[in-house]
Amino acid sequence: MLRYIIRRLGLIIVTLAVISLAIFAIVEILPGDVAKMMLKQNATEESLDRLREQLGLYRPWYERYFDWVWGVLRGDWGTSYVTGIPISEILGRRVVHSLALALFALVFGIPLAVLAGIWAGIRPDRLADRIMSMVGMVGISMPEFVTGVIFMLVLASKFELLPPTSMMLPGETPWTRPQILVLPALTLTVVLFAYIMRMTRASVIEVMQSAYVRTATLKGIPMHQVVRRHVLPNAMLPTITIIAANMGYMLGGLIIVENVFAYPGLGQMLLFSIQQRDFPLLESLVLLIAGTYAISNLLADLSYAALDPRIRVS
Amino acid sequence: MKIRRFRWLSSRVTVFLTLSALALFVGACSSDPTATQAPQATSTVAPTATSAPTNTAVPGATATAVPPAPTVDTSGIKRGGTLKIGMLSDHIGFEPGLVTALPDIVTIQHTYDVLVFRNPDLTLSPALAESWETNEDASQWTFNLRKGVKFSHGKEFKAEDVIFTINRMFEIDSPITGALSKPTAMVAVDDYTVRLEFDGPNAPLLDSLVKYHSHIIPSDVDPERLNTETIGTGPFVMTDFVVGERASFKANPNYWMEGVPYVDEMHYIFLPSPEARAAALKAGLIDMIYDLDASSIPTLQDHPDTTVLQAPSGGYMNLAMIVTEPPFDNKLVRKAVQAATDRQAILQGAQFGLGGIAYDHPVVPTDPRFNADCKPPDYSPELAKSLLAEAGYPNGIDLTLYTSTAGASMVEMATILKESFRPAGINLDIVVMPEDGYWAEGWLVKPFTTVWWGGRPPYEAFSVVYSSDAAWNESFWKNDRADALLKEALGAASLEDQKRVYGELQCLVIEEVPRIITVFRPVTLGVRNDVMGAAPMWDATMSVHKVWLDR
Repeated sequence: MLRYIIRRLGLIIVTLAVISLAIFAIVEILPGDVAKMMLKQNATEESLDRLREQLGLYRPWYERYFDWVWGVLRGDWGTSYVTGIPISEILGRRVVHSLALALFALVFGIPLAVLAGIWAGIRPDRLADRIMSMVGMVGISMPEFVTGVIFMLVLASKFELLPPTSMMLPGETPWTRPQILVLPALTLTVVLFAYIMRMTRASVIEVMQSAYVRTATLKGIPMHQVVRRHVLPNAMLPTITIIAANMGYMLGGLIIVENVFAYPGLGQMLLFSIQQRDFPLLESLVLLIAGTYAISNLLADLSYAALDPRIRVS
Repeated sequence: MKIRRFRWLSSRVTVFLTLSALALFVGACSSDPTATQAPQATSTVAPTATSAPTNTAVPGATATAVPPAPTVDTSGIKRGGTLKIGMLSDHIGFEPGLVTALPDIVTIQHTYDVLVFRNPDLTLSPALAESWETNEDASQWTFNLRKGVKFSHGKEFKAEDVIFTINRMFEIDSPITGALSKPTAMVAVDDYTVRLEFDGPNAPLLDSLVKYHSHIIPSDVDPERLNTETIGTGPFVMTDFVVGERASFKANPNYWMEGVPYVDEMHYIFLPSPEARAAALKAGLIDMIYDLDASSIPTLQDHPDTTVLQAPSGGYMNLAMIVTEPPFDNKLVRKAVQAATDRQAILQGAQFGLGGIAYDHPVVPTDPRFNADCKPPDYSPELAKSLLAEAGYPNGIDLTLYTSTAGASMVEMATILKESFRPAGINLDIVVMPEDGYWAEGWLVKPFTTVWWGGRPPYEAFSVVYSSDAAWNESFWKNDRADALLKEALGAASLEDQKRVYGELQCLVIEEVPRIITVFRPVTLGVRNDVMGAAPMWDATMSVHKVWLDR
């Protein structure tokens, strides 16, 4: 087991190295010049030259790359080109905000989707199943900025139940004002609902048709016990994969949701860094998000092992 | 599954980026140099200003009339409270001489002061300079500085700070140095008097000094620090700044203007999406939206608790025709395009009727130097047709107009023009170029382009585009008379002289048609009904010095 974890961690390091190299290469070929972006129409050749020199843009890319990697390894993420603020300072609070949102969705939104999937899977093709499948399809078909704006209009503007934006004043955090998490988390849940619900439903249906469930039912065990003791542990495995695969998305990929609600998380910072051509910031963000993907996948595999003894053996 | 998620996500990102491009780009672009279209205080009394309380005449010099410090009836004003302003989230840096992003500009406007303040109604008020005078030919300017003013780090404001600020502008190549002539000498006569000397007449000097690049910085601080800190004499002191989230300010207790500001605290809340800004204002989470998205205007006008404030700005949209390339080398073609341009339709269609009609020159109709005698013809497809026939195109002409969503409503204007040109026999092809690169590969390169400009005072507005050697001479139009008039304008100190010089320039560019300026753009603010005293400014920014909350 320990060897397995060590091997996986080694793989993650290789993955991150490849990703960091890739993002550096993409940034190199991305159109747009950070110096021109910073100086706008006022740029003169001399001022552009001076700025590029100052940012070290004339040094070969591999030199800049290894400098950056070396810095990251020592915990120094560098300084944002555009704002001159240390990146660790910018990202520190953003990570906390993103974690809060992901946790909120994990605790409230995802169990809802899982329960709906179980309910639909136990009684497939009934009215409840049809309704839930349809809700899921609608949710997955609508872009997040549409669902988000609809929630904002209905729940915040029309009925005034929730704040329409997730802005935080000095001294406020997601923990002291959890209501600001509701709308972004709800929008996010709608997106994930269909994935998770359908995956859960499919595996519940499959398990329900297995021989051991039939045996348990014929033995006369009450239905709720069959579901709890036999169906759930077996049906949850694929669902966990889905949830793990979405952890990275929930932490850093919420570009649209975070922008619609002005939620100050990592996704909003990602868009900001692209628009401002703030490459050190962009590179650090991508690395951070890729790391989250890798680690949450590792955690998913480990929880497989915990749920299913057969995986532990092989 | 993971792969699918990425692809699916990226398509959403593209759509979102496209949708929000306009809003975001407003922020990116309105950051270029903006300025005034206003009466300037020179050796004559500006028509709107009252005469001076202090006429400190230097022997042999003309005294400048200085408006008195504004005395406002403050009896009904409620003090205190916290003002929350929602705005775009761009941020680059705070150094006044280099500031370009809109939120950064309004930050320094409320934490620093200029020497002379241009009010929302275009009159001038003394700020850090209590009064000023100039010699006969406007080549020497003397400013008498306010005493007892302190920067937020404790240093007293003195003549050395003015000299330091102006030196710094030239050292860092501030965009303002394009309009501000370099002084040949700067003399601190004493701690509270500074004299700027130029090698020739410099009547438009104050037009530069009222701009946001001219905020006075302290001379005892390493100016590199000013990129991340604000150390000024302004009405507010910044207490906290979180990139992309908020900036917080408290009222400066030592502010020189008595009783101002009225609120105790102010926060800028950075809300990148225009829907979020409008929704937050309607819900009362914020008190004000700065730089209102056009799409939000109708809903805020209809909401019972919110109001839209608007003022015309000197910023405008125009068409540039490169006069050295066919068919625009033929003046008759340019005049045909002029007659076929339906300005009213552009004002309604591209700007919701806000702002105002422009007449092919950059002087706003409220400016005393506006010349009402010269105007381009009203929209007339028949006239355009006959001009085209005279130019050798009896069967009409095909033109290609290059445009982009890179700011203002240029694409909307182009679309309206297609319809407006059709009855005149002009068949317009529209090419929408990507925002990235439009200013590098479209503007100044393609023969027929849409452009938008920030407002500038008359001298600068003409000199940056119409003088033969101007870097931004977007139509490559060279005219000896225009160059001569621009030179004369530098010494035109009295309003009468200015009316004559700028009046002739206006007629000249209407007649020669190097560019077609269609509409002036509006400046808009969205406010809650209980927010009093907020003012959209002439340079497309806002002033909250005198905002108070009626609650």
